[in-house]
Amino acid sequence: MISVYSENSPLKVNPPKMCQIAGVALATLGIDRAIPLIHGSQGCANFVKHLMSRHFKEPIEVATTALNEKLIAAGGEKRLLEAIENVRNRINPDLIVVATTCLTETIGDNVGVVRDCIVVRTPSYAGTHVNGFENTVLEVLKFLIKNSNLRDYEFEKEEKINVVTGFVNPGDVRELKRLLSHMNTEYIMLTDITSLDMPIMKKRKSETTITRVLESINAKATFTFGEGISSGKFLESFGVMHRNLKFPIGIENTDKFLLEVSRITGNEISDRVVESRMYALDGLIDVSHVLRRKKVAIFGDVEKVIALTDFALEMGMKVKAVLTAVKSVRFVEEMKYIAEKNKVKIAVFENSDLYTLHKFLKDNPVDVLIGDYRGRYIAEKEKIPLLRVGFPICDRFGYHRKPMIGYSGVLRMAEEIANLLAGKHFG
Amino acid sequence: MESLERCIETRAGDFTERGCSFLGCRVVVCGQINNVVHLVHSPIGCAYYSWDYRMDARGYCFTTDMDEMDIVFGGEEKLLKAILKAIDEFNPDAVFVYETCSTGIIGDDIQAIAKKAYELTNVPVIAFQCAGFRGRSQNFGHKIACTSIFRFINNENRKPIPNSVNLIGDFNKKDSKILEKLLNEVGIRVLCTFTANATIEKIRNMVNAELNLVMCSKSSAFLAELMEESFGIPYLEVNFFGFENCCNSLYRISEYLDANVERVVEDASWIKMVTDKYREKLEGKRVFICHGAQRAVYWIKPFEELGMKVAGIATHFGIELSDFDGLVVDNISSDELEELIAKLSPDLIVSDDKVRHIAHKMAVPFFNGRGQNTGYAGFEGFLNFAKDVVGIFDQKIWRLTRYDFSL
Ligand code: SF4
Repeated sequence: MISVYSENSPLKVNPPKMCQIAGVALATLGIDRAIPLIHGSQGCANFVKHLMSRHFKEPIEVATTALNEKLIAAGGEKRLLEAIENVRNRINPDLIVVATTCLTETIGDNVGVVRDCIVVRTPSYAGTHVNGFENTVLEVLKFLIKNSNLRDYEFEKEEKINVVTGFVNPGDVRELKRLLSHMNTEYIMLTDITSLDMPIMKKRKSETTITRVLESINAKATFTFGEGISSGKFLESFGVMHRNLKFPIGIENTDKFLLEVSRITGNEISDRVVESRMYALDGLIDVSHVLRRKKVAIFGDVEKVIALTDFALEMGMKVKAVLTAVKSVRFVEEMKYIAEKNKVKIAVFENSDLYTLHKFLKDNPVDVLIGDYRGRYIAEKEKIPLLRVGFPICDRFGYHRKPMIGYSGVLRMAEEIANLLAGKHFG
Repeated sequence: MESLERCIETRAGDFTERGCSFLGCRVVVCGQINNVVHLVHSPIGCAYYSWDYRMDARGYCFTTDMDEMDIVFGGEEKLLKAILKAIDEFNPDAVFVYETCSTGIIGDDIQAIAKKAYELTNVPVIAFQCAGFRGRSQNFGHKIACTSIFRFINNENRKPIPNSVNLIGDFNKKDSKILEKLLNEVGIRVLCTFTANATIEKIRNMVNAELNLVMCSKSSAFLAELMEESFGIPYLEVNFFGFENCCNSLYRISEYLDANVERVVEDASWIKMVTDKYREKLEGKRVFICHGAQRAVYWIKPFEELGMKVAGIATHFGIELSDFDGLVVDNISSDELEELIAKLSPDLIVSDDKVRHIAHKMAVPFFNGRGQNTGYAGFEGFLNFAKDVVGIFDQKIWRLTRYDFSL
């Protein structure tokens, strides 16, 4: 059973969502030698860069067209072309991804003038960072395929798979890669954001080059997680199968993902993978008595919250409240299904914010909160431990390396929750 | 990147470190004013990214979260409702409303809404027309912030308080605490530090000061100018970074006010002795400074006092420098910064968090010139500063990046 709270409030206080350009920047930086160019006033680019560098603890390259009143009057198109030219001259990237902003969308800038770059339409008033990521992957695919001689790339379908990772962390992508290589499965990550966690004195480097992106049309299947299906659908028209699953977060969701990969590629789930599953379970069972029946509230992006809820229920936790900042029928429906299947009661907040959750938790206290670092306001005030997952996490170190996904993700999260509760548990 | 001393315009396609005027207004100047609802009238982007932009900031994110429909039909009604709801729920001393690019372009009349909300609630509501496309950079936002807040300071009941000052400029909370203490010691009362730790009441009280002390002239000298013009309160540009600068500033203040500087300087002389000892370790080391503008200039002297040399300065907004023989560049982009660091190979990079990770990746020691959890202003701050700089060079880790594994 669920109770749904969906308020169309004129005032949002601490909403856990970002705008699309954060997603554009992330997806683009996951392509080797690609550069995001934000078409708007210089603030947007600086803001995104700043936020990302505080999370990833890495230098972040984001270019801007730096429009202002005077330049808008003269026409933003000219400025955009000039910016593209300048970026080329300066660092000669393989790919430039232009993202529009609310400014250029509201004044109706004609971005159609750009022919040799990708343009993603991303005004802040529509969609979130999650859509920004998805739209970028789709536009990159469309553009590259349109502008290349496909015969150079279209061979017989190979035994490899594409994975559209969604807005996750380098740690997550690394875990996906690890599991897939242990199954001898060749993959193309769309995109490979492990490039945002480089060793010292090494420049950004990503396995997903432009050529790799193009080769995705030869893959056997594309895996997408949750709602981010558009690229999978698009690649279907090239005969690439499309499999849409939940995020592989939690044991069962990870099992399902790997089984599906195995089914499609014919590659067996290897002993190494089984071993890493048993390894995780060993740790999970060790902490199971600490997590058992502990109350939890989870907030964040729709699909991740859904999968995290599955994980929490696997651990025998009581999911008291789940919250997402967008309106989402899928969120409510899925939560309803989960609640019924597990015979639990969940308060479901959509189109909501963390202040609303805070008020709710005052009357309905929980033992643990799961979400990004913006949960700290609730955590500090109410003295509830916060398991930091996702993006952004600016007030701690190394969290971009810690996965949510896969067997490593489950183990890490469960152990971390147990450690957060350990003080109390062991009295 | 150009060797110019004034602020050049951002070029198309730059990887600039500059922000928009909304940032200058919302984050730099207004963000630190306490018990105010900082309501960002915008789609989610601007509101989210400006939320706790500075690592030491802690506050809520209030926004009208404009969606496509709101942009098409206008957001005035929504804004009014949001203000009323915020006042009802949070009982603030004031509501600050910030416009951003989209709400600026569609022409929402935020001034009228602010007025209406004030009439309905009697809670002051200040509207800032600081959309990102206005002006060339965040500096313009500082100006907008100062002008709008100035209108709110009322001189009708001005009763000057003897020996009192306002501290005006962009420094962190720790800096302002140290300086307040220091000025108290010389017998001067600080009415308001604008804006670290400021409140609406303190801002209103600013009018009663005898003198304004301006620290970062780029961000808020404008407010001091307005107060001089309108209320006849003189202002003085001061620099409290470094021992010598600190002494000079205090002596200059004593020309205006009754201040007992001599004794305080003498009491601080032990600090000079301690920091002089550090010189041995630091002598001859080369520093590269990258800051907005003023802060870059402020750091030259303190480093020299530690025996170090400033090899180059990069600014985001241009500076004027007379007797400096190093390299000066303006509007540095992140890619150029890397180039320059590689070329100059400094022993230390001084900047704020935005540049930290560029330096770290290049394995060059980094010093946060903004302080954040420490104050570097005043005598006490100079000691903190010296300790932190020495601390960096004491860390073996910087030397471990070089290795030789051959047998
Ligand atoms: S939309 Fe405008 S106001 Fe908002 S962050 Fe971008 S440049 Fe600044």
